Amino acid sequence: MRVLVTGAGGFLGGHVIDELLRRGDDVGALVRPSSTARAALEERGVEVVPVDLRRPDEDLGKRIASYEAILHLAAGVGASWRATFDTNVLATENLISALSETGWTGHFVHVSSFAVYGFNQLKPKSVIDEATPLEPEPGRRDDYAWTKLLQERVVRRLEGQAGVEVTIVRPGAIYGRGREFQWRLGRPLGERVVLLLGGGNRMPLNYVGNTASLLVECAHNPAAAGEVFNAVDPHPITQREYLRAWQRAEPIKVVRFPLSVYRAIGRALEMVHRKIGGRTQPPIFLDSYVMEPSLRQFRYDPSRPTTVLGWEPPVSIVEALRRTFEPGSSDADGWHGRVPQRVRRRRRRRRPVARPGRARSEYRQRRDDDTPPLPESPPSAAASRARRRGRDVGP
Amino acid sequence: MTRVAVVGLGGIAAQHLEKLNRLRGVEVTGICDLSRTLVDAVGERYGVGPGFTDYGEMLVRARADVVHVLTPPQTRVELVLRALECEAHVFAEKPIAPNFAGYERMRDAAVQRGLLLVENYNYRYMAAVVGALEIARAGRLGRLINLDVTLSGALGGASYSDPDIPHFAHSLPGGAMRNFASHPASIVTQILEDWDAVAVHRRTLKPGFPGSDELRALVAGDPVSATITITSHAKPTRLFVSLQGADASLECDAFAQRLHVDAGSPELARITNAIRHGVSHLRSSAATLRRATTTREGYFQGFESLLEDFYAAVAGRREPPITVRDMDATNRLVEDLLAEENRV
Repeated sequence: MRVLVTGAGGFLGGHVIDELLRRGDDVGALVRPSSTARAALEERGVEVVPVDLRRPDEDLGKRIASYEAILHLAAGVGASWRATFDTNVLATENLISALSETGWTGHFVHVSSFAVYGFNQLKPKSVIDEATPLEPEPGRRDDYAWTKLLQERVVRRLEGQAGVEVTIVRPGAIYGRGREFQWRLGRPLGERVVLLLGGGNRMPLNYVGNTASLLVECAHNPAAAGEVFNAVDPHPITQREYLRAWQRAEPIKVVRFPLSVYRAIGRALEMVHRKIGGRTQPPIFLDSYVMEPSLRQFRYDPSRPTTVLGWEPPVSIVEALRRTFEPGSSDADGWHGRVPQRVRRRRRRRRPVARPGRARSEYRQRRDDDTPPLPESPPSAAASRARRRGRDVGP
Repeated sequence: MTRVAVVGLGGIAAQHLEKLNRLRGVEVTGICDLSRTLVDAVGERYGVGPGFTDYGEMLVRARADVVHVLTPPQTRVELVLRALECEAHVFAEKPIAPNFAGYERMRDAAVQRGLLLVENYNYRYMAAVVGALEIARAGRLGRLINLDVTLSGALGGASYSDPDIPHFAHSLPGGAMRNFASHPASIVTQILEDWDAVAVHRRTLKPGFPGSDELRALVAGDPVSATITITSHAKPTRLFVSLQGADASLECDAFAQRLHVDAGSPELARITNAIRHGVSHLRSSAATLRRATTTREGYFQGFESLLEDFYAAVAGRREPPITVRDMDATNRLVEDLLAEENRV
């Protein structure tokens, strides 16, 4: 099958290319002309289409017309709202227009985001699935969520086109080696310092290998046509558990900040805003409408890809965490696993993983357990101190 | 109600639309850009519109009293002239034109029709800068001798280094530096009405950056001289104004809203100045914290006051906040700063 991947030079793109090659597909990679991934892609036998989608290209339709499936991954967060808009919306519009003008037929798999859901309208602990209503006030969310919603609208224009099948995949928080930090943890305070907001929230994590596998499955499986899938791993872990796995591999300092206090500050600023007639606006990181979607506790239903496609995530949470954080794991050897020089230096210095067996046992119980995970009770202060010192205090 | 149209929905448009939405007596009746998707999305987000992709159609249908022209400077002259032909006042982003000749065409057309044409010098409207200029004009510093203006952190954004879609500013005469030069120039020209010579040192600190990303200039005048520094790699982003007079000196850190005057009798100066410094730091910390937690204005602290004054002038309630004389001097100084013959 001839498959084109947009955003192939990115984090997810590299894993998708690998998965397609593993399946024996004839792969094309649409990358920006300046992309540093071009040489690596060509070495792997991938046909490189150097195009910047942010700019209309009259020949684009002809250059990509021969592909039977397109995986549209290209997205990002720019330096300004307009840069984000151009990357996510205008680029998609240019691609869709090129396909429409040439009368392209095939399967278009669009990578959207969990960010499109209307989290603020949901009660805590609600189940998020593909039927969850989309954000009703996109303009109040951050630029990324706003533009991803607009991007979906643009993609849906393809749905009416004869011979075109559209699948939309909404991944949760994609992680893997090279993308360890997650915004759902809180805020980065420095290179190795994380401001942890709360700690007990289960994150809608999606290991990058699983995202790539689902996207490739969607391109191949006719049952995916016209469907929407959430890409989220089963057995979600909490912010604390994720950070603990990371801290075993790297000396990450965590500054804890109580979620209740953080929310109280946000609410106080909102009150001030209302009192003085809307003439103030809290900064993004204190705007509860923007922040609450990543801070509120929800449950995530990962079942639809399995039900509709018969697909199962190939990488368990234990293995995903090992590949992400453990030195010498398989991802480290992949061409897309390139990490900046300063990070490589840091990794050389870090201490060996203390007790990989403990991490394994901690998550295996959940992985093997078919029942939904139990809510985690916060560890006692003594247990936390002991864990920080490296003592085994049991599960 | 003053009817306003906005053309050019780039990054800066968000600042204009947010502030226009907050101004009393102002209604945005049209927004325009080339992309229909962009126009619709921005209209929906800011609750303004209708949206147009044809500028001529917007000018007719929006029946605007004021047009905000926010497109790249290379396109601005024609758009401003068309707005003036429709008897609309114009508020234009900086730099108002790619060169002085373009500015003159717009200025002459506006003066001829008795319409307002204002270039956005919002840094000059920041509270600390306004305070500094008032102190200098009131004579509290004595006879003025020198003025230094430093803008650091300019040209630092990723958009200026995008190799695939180069920033529009790189193709301006004088390079991307023209996009920033009017900020310090608009402050210097409040003190120096004229100057004898300009000597400029420019260099490129970022490897591969198109054009220069640092400018240091001496503006030699009589009795006052000035220095201007625009640097992209010194952090943090800062606008620093220093004024030296025969009786006292003044320092102003505009984004931090800090302003203090060093003066006093020779015996007590070290003590009184130390107290003044402490008080000004406390005040500026409180003001910065307040703004940082209640606004998203970032480096646009003075923009809202400038717009308020501009719309008051449109309504005939006051003089224009930025006069033709201000724009003449600023654009002339920008030309001198970027002229090849002034490079040393």
